[in-house]
Amino acid sequence: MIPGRDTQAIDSVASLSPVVSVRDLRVRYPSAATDALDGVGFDLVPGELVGLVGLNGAGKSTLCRCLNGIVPQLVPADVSGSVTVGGMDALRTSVRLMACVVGVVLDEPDAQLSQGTVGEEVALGLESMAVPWSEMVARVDDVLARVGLAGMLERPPLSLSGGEQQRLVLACALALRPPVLVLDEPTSGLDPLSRAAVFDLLADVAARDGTAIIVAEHDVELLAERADRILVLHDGRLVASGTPAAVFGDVSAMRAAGVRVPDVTAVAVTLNGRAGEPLPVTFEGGLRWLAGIR
Amino acid sequence: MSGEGPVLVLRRATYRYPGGVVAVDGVSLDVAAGDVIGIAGANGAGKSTLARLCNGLLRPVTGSIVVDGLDTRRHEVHELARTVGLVFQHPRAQLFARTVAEELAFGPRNLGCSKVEVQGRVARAAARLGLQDVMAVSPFELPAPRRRHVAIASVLTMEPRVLVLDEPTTGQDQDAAAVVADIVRDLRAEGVAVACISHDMRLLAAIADRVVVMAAGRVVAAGTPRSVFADAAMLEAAGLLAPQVTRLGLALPRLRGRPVVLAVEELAEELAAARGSGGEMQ
Amino acid sequence: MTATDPHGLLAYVPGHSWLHRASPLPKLAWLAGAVVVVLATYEPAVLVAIAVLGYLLALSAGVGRAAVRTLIALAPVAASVIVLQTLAPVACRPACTPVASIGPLTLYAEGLSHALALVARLLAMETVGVAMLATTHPSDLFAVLRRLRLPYELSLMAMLSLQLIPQLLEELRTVLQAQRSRGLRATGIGALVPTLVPVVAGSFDRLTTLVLSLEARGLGAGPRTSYRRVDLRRVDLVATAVALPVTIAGTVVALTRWGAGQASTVVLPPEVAVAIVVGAAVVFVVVMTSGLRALARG
Repeated sequence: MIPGRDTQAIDSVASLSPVVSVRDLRVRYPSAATDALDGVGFDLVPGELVGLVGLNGAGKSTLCRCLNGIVPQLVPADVSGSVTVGGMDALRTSVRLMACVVGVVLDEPDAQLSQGTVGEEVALGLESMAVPWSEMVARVDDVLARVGLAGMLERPPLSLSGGEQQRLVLACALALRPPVLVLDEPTSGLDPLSRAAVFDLLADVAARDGTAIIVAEHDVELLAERADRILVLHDGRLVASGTPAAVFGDVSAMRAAGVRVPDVTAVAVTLNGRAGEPLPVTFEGGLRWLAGIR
Repeated sequence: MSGEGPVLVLRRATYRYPGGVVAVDGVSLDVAAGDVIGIAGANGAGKSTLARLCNGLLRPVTGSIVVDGLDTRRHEVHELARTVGLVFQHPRAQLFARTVAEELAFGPRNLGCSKVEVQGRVARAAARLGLQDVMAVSPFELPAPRRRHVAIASVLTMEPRVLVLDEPTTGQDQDAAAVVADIVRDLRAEGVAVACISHDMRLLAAIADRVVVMAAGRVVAAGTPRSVFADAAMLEAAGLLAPQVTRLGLALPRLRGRPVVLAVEELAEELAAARGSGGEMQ
Repeated sequence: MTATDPHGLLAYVPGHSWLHRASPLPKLAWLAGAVVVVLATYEPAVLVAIAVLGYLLALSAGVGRAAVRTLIALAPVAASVIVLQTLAPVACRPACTPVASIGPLTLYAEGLSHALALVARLLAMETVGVAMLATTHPSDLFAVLRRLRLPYELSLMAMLSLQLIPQLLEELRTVLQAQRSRGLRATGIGALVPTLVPVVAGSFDRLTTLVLSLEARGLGAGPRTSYRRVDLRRVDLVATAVALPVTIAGTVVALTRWGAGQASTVVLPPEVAVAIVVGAAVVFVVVMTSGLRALARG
């Protein structure tokens, strides 16, 4: 279920062409023995929230960095295949020009903050795109309110708490209103409630703005609750793609890929549910499933 | 758990930063040898400050911390380092050597161990963390999870009686996190007292004998994981969430009154037991 | 993670004094003027007068403490200038006049006198600098510089340094703590590698992430607009304009009355000279070691 959308919107999503199109992407870093990504291909459509899971080293970060051209333009690597984002060739178009179509939020928020005040930090991207002053002011206020940081305009970014800094870097990406958002492990280091808050925000952005969002994450329970689709990477290859129920429900495939399944799914597997019945992946789904067994 | 007196004792320890912020407020804690205590709390609850109080990097403003009989206010950090090891949250804060072997040898060398003793300790720690194959590699060339394992191993070579881990599983996938859990279990068996500071509730469910919840510098709950994780209201007020499997167990009507579960297998057992005892399906 | 307040020399001290509310442009102009006048003379009387004026300005704005803190931070620099210049003056005509000796080392009058003049210059620029800069939010300062057509790259670099230096110090503190936790003692030469390598490596990683983040937000895509704005009212422009004739007057007076570039040699009795040099050396050692110790304690 895509949270917060009406049925009309759901129908129109299905008919929209993909805003991200990755075909046969192969990446090998210099002096590496194996490919970091090996023939990865998938699409993203507007308004969907996609979770990217896999072991450390499976290629999640590399994939995130390919979506705006950081790899191979700023981080050298041998790359083949195609990555089309918002109609632009991400692998060849200058990274700074891709900023209007794709916002990339790297891990470690405090390493991405450098300006004197929160307002200037958010406005950095808008300044780079030569947005007129009055519009900049409006957008900065608007996006800070959106992420729950209203009233912090004059604060130094580095004086914010971990959770606030994470929301700030998200605001910096959102300010440019890109149709695509890429986040690399945005919740690592955050406590459980802050993690849930970040995902609530992402779901809201996907639903209200129609932004296509892809998030690399380890927290499978959170992804199962919020994501429309899950992509699983293992040793650089895309080994599964589908709804959380379909992907996490394939327990043997998850085990092979080294990916943990949500507790609720593991419980259902242990209890050997009726054959053919889909396994639960969300908390509510789990309660319903458990109520239904003998 | 051994029968000795506690190895790590905090008595109403309070720490105030120069700016006036009270990060730790009257915390009392006992950890015995072979005990694993989980310290949970949201960011900013004072957990990292508490970690630094335990090995003498910070001295309490009031109250005391005694490690294996040594009062932290009366001993230098390098003296206390013989007894209490602290693994920092970010491995990059400590990794510096040209090879993993040198990195592991740093601690024991500082303690004045003989060459032979150093080699022995390095080999043992490397074996524990599965680092034998990368001893000649630079720690900076290792992927992030293995760098964290190197950081842990480099503190284990000091062979402390008390080990404090500050957020040891941040950013790790389940395989890497499992290694950390296994290490803690081994250390518990060897009689090391372990304080694991983490908001990774699944890790605490897996390894902690007791859990202490901190909020705004104070201890707001303490007890076994089962008793602490059952109090959803307290956890939420502290910015935490019990593991999903625990919350499932608490939400199922048919399991009402039954023990709190901490793992998937336990939930399955409890469901089977509830069925067996003739409980009506809800 | 909460960052500590910047401990830099140009640290902004928030406040509401008249100087805080003044526009950055006239403040910059008057600071530039003061620097020009200071560099036009070695006459101690003028330099001390400007230093005192600067300190009074700082006091009136409530940043007197910042001025003193910066002074202490600069003390090692001043102390080393005194010691080095007195023992080895650059050049004297016709020959240097020895005034005293400490063991095998000879103290020269010209060197000491020149050193004191240099220190007086440092003092004058420091107090006026702190008064003007500590009352100006760095972002406003850079906004004004950008309006004056300073290339964006330069102001960006300066802004990054201002943010990143405190971060670096924080990182250094953490690394020292981590190494001490592994038994590292004190701060001898053996402590250098285990302390600096992680900081350098960490900084490299963080800078890389920062650069990628800035590029990913479009930095360098073309001409920029500016978010931070500084209003320039007529009174600000007038205050700035007035600085120019005052500076010219001050410089002319300084040059004609006291001869630029020539230190008027003040010959001090040998005991005083020795006391100053030894005192400077002691100050140097004390400030450096207590600074390092404070850093280590965290």
